[in-house]
Amino acid sequence: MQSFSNRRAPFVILTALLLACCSTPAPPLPPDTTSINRTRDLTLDDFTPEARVMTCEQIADERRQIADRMSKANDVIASNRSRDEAAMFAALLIAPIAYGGMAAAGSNGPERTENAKLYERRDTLIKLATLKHCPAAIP
Amino acid sequence: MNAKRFCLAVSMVIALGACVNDHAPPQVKKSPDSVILTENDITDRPYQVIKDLDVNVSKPHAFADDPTREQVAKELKKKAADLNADAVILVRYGTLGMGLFNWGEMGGRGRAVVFK
Repeated sequence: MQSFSNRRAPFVILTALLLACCSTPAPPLPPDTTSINRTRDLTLDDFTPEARVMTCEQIADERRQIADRMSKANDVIASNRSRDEAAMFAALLIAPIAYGGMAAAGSNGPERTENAKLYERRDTLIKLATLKHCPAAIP
Repeated sequence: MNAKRFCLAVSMVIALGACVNDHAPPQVKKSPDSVILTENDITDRPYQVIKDLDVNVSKPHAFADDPTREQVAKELKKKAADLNADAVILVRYGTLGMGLFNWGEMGGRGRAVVFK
């Protein structure tokens, strides 16, 4: 039983490494509510009560914060990239090194999840800003 | 005599065939550099949505450089130019990492629009 789990361990580690190093697709686009061929209009009812009372300044401020947080999360992912790649090479070449590789590989899971959430919130703020006719000051 | 008439008829058909013109205006392909790319929505100009774009840039081999956001943006512009779009709005990027069949890839999405 012990030897069986020992034999299985490298594969489990390799799979875990593969998942940790995988790319994540770009978040989905929000529904079109602003073009001339849109299928529906946006109303304040589409937003939460907290969002409805936000001013243009507050929206712009939160969008700036989101941009900063996205940038930081992307920096973390980029800095882990070479380390993950090296660990992956090691894991593919010699299975025992995979143990070391596993320890060395950084998981970008939290940053990726955060990025997805930030994109979603940013889309909401973009739509809210459009509905409130806020000036497009955010780059 | 018959041969003469035949030759005349053939040359007339060829001449008329050469005159055929469907009056279709020549398709002017847009330059990718002229396509506007923004992570935001465009609110100061009315636009029509052409298509939602989805691109993926991957590195050809393990020792090549990782794909960058600039490359993804370039690919989005190229795709939008093929559709004669004026802009790509709401652009977003995926995270860099290994793909199923390559050593590194990065995806991007955006909405191709044409101004009205």
